[in-house]
Amino acid sequence: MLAALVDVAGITLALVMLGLLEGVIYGLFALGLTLIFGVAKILNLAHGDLGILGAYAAFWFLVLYGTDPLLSLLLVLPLLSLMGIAIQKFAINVAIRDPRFQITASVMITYGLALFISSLETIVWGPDYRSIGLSYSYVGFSFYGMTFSLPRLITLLVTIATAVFFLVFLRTKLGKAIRACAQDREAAQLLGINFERLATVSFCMSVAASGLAGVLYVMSHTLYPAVGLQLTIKGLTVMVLGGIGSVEGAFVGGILLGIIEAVASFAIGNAYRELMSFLILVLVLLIRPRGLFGKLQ
Amino acid sequence: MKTRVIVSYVIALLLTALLPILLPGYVSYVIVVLMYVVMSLGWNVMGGYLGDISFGHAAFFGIGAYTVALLVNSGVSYFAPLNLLLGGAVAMAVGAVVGYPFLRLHGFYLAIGSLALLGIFYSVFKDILASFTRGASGLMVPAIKPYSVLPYYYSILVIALATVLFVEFIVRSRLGMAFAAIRDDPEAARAVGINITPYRVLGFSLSAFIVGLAGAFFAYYNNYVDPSGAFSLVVSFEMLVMVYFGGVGTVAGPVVGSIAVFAAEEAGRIVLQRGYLLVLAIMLLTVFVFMPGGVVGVLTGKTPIVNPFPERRRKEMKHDST
Amino acid sequence: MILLEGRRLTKRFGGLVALDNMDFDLSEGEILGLVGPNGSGKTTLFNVITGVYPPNSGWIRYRGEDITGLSADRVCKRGIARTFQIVRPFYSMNVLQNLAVAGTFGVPGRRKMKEIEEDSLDILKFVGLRDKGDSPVSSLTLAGRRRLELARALATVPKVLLLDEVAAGLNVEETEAFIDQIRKVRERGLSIIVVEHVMKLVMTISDRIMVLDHGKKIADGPPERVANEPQVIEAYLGVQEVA
Repeated sequence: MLAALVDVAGITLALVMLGLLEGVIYGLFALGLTLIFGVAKILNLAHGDLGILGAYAAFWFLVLYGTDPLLSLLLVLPLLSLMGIAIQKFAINVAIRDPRFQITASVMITYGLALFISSLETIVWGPDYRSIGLSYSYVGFSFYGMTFSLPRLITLLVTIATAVFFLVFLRTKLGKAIRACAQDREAAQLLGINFERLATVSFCMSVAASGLAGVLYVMSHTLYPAVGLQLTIKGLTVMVLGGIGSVEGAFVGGILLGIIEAVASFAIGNAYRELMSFLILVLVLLIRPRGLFGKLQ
Repeated sequence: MKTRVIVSYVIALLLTALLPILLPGYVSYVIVVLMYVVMSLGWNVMGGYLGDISFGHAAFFGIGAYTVALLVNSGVSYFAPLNLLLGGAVAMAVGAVVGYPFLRLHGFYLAIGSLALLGIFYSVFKDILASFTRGASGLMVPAIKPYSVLPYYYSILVIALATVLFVEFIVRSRLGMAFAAIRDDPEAARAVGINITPYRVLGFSLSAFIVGLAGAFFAYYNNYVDPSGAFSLVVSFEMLVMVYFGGVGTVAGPVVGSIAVFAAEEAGRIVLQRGYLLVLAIMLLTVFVFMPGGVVGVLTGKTPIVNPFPERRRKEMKHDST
Repeated sequence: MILLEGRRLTKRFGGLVALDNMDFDLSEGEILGLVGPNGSGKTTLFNVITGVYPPNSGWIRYRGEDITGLSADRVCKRGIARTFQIVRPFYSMNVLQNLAVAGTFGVPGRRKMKEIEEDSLDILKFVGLRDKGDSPVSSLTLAGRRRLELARALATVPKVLLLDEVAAGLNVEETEAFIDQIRKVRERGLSIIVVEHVMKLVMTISDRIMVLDHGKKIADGPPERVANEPQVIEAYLGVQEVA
C-alpha cells in the first residue's frame, strides 16, 4: 500500500518536473510575444520562426566549427536583433500606417514572414529532422522512467536567469518606460517618451528572447522548419493563459501548460498533447480572456 | 445594370461553360481555381463583410470534406449532389453551434480562438474519431462514374455560380446592411437597433456553409481526405491571401485573388518544389506592405470596402433636387 | 407627464464610482440640460440609460416600462436614441445610407425600403444635409458629421433623444445653428436630454438643468436658479464662466 503511494508520488513529481522543464521554454517564447504585443499591439506570428532561425544558426555553428550552442548565442542574438530592427522598420511600421488594417496587416505580414522564413529554411536546408548532439546531451538522470538530461537542466537555469533579468529590467528607467507604453501609449507619449524607439527596443528584446528560446529548445528537441510556427502557437497559448503583458504570467502559464501536457501525455497518450494546449486556449478565451495575470483588455 | 456589363458577364459565362471544348488542357486548372473562388467568397462573408478575421476557416473545409468521405465510406449515401449539400450543411451546423460562444470574442481574440479551433478539429479527426476516419491514413473517395473530368467541372462551375449569386444577394439585402454596420462600428450599430450576436452567428454559419461546400467538392475531386490536407493552416491562409490580394470587395477581389494564388502556387511548385509556399509568403507581404487594397484596389484606384448598397441601389436612392 | 425616469442609479467601474445613487426624470416635451465637471458621470448616465452597460443598482423606467439593463439595440427600438460624444458614423456608407440603416433596424417591425428612403431624405432636409446625401462621410466637416449623427439618431424614430456634447469643437455660428436645430427637434415632439460643456448652448436651450458632480446630483431646476447655487459654482470653480 505504502509502496503504491510512493510510486504515485514519484510519478507525479517526475511529471511535474518534466512539465516544468518543457514549460519554461514555452514561457520564454511567450515572453517575447507578450512583450511586443503589450507594447506595440503587434501580434508577431513569425516569433517562433525567428527563434528557430537562430536555432539553425546555432546548429550550423556546431556542425561546422564545433561551437557549443550556448556560446554561439553571443553571435546569434545580436544578429537576430538586427534582423528585428530591419523587420520593424521595413515591414511592420509600413503596415500599421493604415489604421483600418492594423491588426490584420501586422498579423498577415508576420505570418507572411513566418512562411517566408520556414520556406527558405526548407529550400536551403531541407525539411528533414535534425538533432543537435552535444558531448553532454545524454548526461543526466532518470527518475520513474522519465529522463532528465543536462541540456534540459541548463535550459531551466538559463530561463530562470532570463526571467529574473526581465523582472529586474522592468523596474529600471527604461523598463518603466516600456511598461508605460504598454499601459497607455498616448499618455506615455505625452510624458515625453519616444514610442517608436521604445517599440523598436521592445521588438529587439522580443526577437532576442525568441532566439535564446530557439537555441535552448534545439539543444533537447529535434529541429525542422515547420516547428517554428508550432512554437509560435504554443507561445500564443501561453501568452493568453498567463495574461497579455505579464512576465510572471508568461512563465507561470508556460510551466502550467508544460505540466498539463506532461500529465495528459502520460494519461491519455502523446497524440493528445496538441489537443490539450488548444483546448486550454479555447477555455481561457471563453472563460477568462485576460488570463491569469493580465489586465482587462 | 449597364447593358455592357451584363453582356460581358454572359459572354464570360458562355466561355467558361464551353471551356472543355475550347481548351481541354486547362480544365483541371480551372476546376481548382473555381474551388478557390468558392472558398474565398465564403471566407469573405465573415472576414470582408462582417469584418471578423478568422484563421481557422479551414476547419469548415475539412468538415465538409470529411462529411462526404464518411457518407461515401459508410455507405449511407452515394448521391453526390446530396452529399455536397450535406457537407455544407454539417459545416454550417458546426459553425452555428461553435459560433455562439465564440463570437462573443472580437478581433485578436477571435483570430487566435479560430486557430485553436482548427487545431482542435485536426486532433479530433485524426485521433479521437480515428476509428471512423482512419486517422492519419485518411479516407478514399472513389471517383464518380463516368470517369471523366466533365461532371467535376460542371458541378464546381454551378457551385461557384450559385455562390456568386448568393453572395451578391446577401450584400444587397438588409442582412448586408446589418453586416456592414457591424463591421464599421459595432457600438454604433447597437445604438441604431442592431443586435449584433445573432447577425454574427448567421454570417459565420453562412460562411461555414460555403467553405464546407468547397471542402465537400474537394473530397470528390481529390479522391482522398486526410487530416493534414483537410485541416491545414495553409488552406486557411490561402483563403485570406486570395481575398486580400485580390481586394476585399464583393466578388471581383476574391476571384482575382483566387486566380493569382493558384497561378503563383503552380509557378512556385515548378520553380521551388520544396518551399513553394514562399510565393504565398511573398504575396502576403506584398499586399500588406504595398497595396492594402489588393489588386482590385490598385486597378480602381480606391480601397474596395464591401458596400451594402452597390451601384443600382445607390442610383435609386439618389434624389432629384427640389 | 414623466416619460423617462431613473431612481437610485449606481454604477461602479472597479473602485471608481461613476454614478452614486442618483435620481432623474424627464417630462414629455422637455429639454433637460445635463452638466457637470469632467468625470462627473454624464456619459455614464447616458450609457446606462441606453443599455451600453447595466447599472449596478437602481432602475430606469420609460413610459412606465422597466428598461433597466436592456441591451442597446432593444432600448433603441423602444424609442430612445442617442448620439455619441466622438461621432461614430458608418464610414463605408454614404450619408443617406447611414440613415437608411438606422431607419431599417432602429424601428420595430419591417418597413418598406421606399418608406425608409423617403423618411431619411426628409430628415436630411430637416438637418440641412439634403444635398450631401450621396457624399461619403469623410467629405463632411465636423459640423456636418455632428448633424449626421443627429440625423441618424432621428432616423430611428425616437421619442427621447440623448445628445452627448453635440457642440464641442464648433464655432459660434455652428453652435447657434445647433441651438436652433435642437429647438426644432423638440417641436417635432421629442423630449431631449442635452449633455454639454458649452455653457451658452445648455443655458439657452434647457427648460431645466441637472448638475452632476462625482456621480451625484447636486442641483436640479431652472437654469438661472441652478447657475447661482453655491454647490454648483464650487464644483465648477475656475473651470467655466456660467453666463
